[in-house]
Amino acid sequence: MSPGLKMMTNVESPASHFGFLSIVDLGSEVLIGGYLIVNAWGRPVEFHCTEPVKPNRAQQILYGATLRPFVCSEQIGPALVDNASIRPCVLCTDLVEMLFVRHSVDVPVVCLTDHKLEIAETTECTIAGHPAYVSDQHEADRSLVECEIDRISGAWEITEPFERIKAAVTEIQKAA
Amino acid sequence: MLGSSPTVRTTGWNVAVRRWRPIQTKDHLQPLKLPRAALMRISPPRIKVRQYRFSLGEPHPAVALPHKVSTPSSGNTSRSPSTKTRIQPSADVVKIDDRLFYLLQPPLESLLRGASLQMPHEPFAYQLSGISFLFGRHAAILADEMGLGKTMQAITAIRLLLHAGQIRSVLLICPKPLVTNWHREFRCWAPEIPIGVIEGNQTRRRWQWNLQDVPVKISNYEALLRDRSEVEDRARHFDLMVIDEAQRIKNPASSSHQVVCSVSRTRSWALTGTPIENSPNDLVGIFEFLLSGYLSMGMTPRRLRQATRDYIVRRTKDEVLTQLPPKLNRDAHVELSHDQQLSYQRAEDDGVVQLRGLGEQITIQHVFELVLRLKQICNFDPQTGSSAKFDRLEADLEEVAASGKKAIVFSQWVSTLTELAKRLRRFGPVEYHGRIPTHRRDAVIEQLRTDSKTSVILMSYGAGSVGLNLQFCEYVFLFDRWWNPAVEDQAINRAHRIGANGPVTITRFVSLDSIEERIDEILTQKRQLFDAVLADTEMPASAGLSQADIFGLFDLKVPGRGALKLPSVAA
Repeated sequence: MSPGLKMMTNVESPASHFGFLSIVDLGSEVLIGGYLIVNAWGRPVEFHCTEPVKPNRAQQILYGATLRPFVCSEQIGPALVDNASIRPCVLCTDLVEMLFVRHSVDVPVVCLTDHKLEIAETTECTIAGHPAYVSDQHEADRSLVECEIDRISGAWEITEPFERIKAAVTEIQKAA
Repeated sequence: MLGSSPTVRTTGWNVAVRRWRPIQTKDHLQPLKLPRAALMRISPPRIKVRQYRFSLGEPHPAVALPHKVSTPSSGNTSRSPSTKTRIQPSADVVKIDDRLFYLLQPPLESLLRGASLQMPHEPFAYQLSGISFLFGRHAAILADEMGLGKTMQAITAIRLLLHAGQIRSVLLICPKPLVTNWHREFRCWAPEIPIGVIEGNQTRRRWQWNLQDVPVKISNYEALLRDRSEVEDRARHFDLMVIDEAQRIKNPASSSHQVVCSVSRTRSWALTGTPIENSPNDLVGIFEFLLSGYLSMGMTPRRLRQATRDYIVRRTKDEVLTQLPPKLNRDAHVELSHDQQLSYQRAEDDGVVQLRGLGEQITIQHVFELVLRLKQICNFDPQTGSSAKFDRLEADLEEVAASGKKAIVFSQWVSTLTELAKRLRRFGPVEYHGRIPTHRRDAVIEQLRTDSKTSVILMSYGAGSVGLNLQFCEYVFLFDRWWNPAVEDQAINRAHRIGANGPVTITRFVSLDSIEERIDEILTQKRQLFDAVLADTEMPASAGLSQADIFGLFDLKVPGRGALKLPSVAA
């Protein structure tokens, strides 16, 4: 039994894991992806991060304005999720560009932001008090995400792990 | 034109024009030249991913909580307070996996928000910071000023580590009088954690040392010496060892130091409000427990500061408890009574003559005996029992009792306390010193707390200066002075601490034109030096009375021999 079960007793199931995908932008179009999987009590179980990713010149020309969503949703996101040994019940991201990783993975994905956005091909909702977006092509995600996140409601803040990802990536960069 | 003219002349050209001329055609195909095109295959880059996996240890089976004690409340409850106290790894955690383990932990507020880890009081932000500091460290000194809640911070950090499965066995060592206090604090801050106090006869203690289902064992320094064979058994290992009042082991040559350091353990935490009592070497002695060989005696203050910065946390009340009621210092300079003056003068004159007569044979003990004799005269005249300090104390206590408040009176002598108890009978005094059996001491405190007829507690510096929570007392009287300002501060802070109801008034009695006045001057200087250490400036060579200070009280020169042996704080 996980120790966290005893820590956050208003969470019922010990089996649920939550994934958090984010990007740290190092500037000059260099990105590092971070993927944190926590248990139902917010404690870290796995952490994955990419080496710095810099799109090549051809990608920059061909993808133009869509380059960043392409790199996030089609390159970094799937690489991180595929590498993990645990399949979370929900994948949360704080980046709109990462939302469409949903096309590559079989896990409900939600983008949690602090502000309302105008995003094509998405459905807007409110999850745990945050403006949230799920892909139009996976409308069922909305209720799944709401249900899973409601179970941890009050135990820990759902957007907090993104801060941990950034701190961890920074630490790894320092050590490198 | 030709057809339209009526007079067309026949020339034969018209026929010639109308005749088809045979035309021969010939295909002549030229190969078409295609433009050159470049083929660029855009293969997705191979993204390398690093992975870190964290094993969540199993908590001790005895550390049990009910699985569901509350239901999630509805609504927007995932929004937490903006304050987030992060667990930071210490500098000596070098493996990136280990550093990430700490960095990726949820904020302390999240860990504590679980319904089953309810806290009796909301911790202050600085306390959360202290808990987070301890949580991430294998070697640490929590050196907060007295009264800031070191006990609570240590207990909560232990609690979190136990629940997280990071530790499964804890040994806590404290001075004997504080054992019950620790036990009580554990019941308050971590009620679900079974505590074992190691006490009783040898057979019972041996049985207690071997108990497996008790994750936290509490013993005291003296008992640890008696149980040396038990604790030095290499098969016995503790995941965490905490020593309270860690200045007890500042001397590496002492038995306490040696037996404490001999315990096999993974993590070592030291709690003390006075990591430096007399000299910077005190800190070196404590560090021998934390990281043996890390520091060495005689290191310069600058190097010490640099080397220890990451291992020590110290906060003062002024820094963090701006809401704490003020501490009002009110030195009471009293003139000795006529009888006291006569006795004093006689004793001093005779004493100094004797000391001078000793010449090179003089030792610190000789001087010390005279100091003690004079100090005792300042308390009570040996012939008549008159006491100017007592008269003043009695008058002040009248006011304290009339207003329904409580007071603590400190003295270094049990005989003085006993005399005061006789004379202050109408204030319902209780005594708390070395002659009061340990098992009766809790009842003494309880009586002071609850009995409206008990207005004053008479305490020795040794028994009452550390660990006790007497914040319901608003008056502290130092009937005579201790040798070290740090010990006096500890005594004062029994009352001036978190939970204090109102301002705490401290009265230090000083007999004018006496040894007490001379000692007071030296202690004031020492206190300034000690404050300088706390302010992270140059450390003083000594914060207590030195050999030169003692001899200087009587304008005597320090001889070439005679070791300084100031008394330790004894009950």
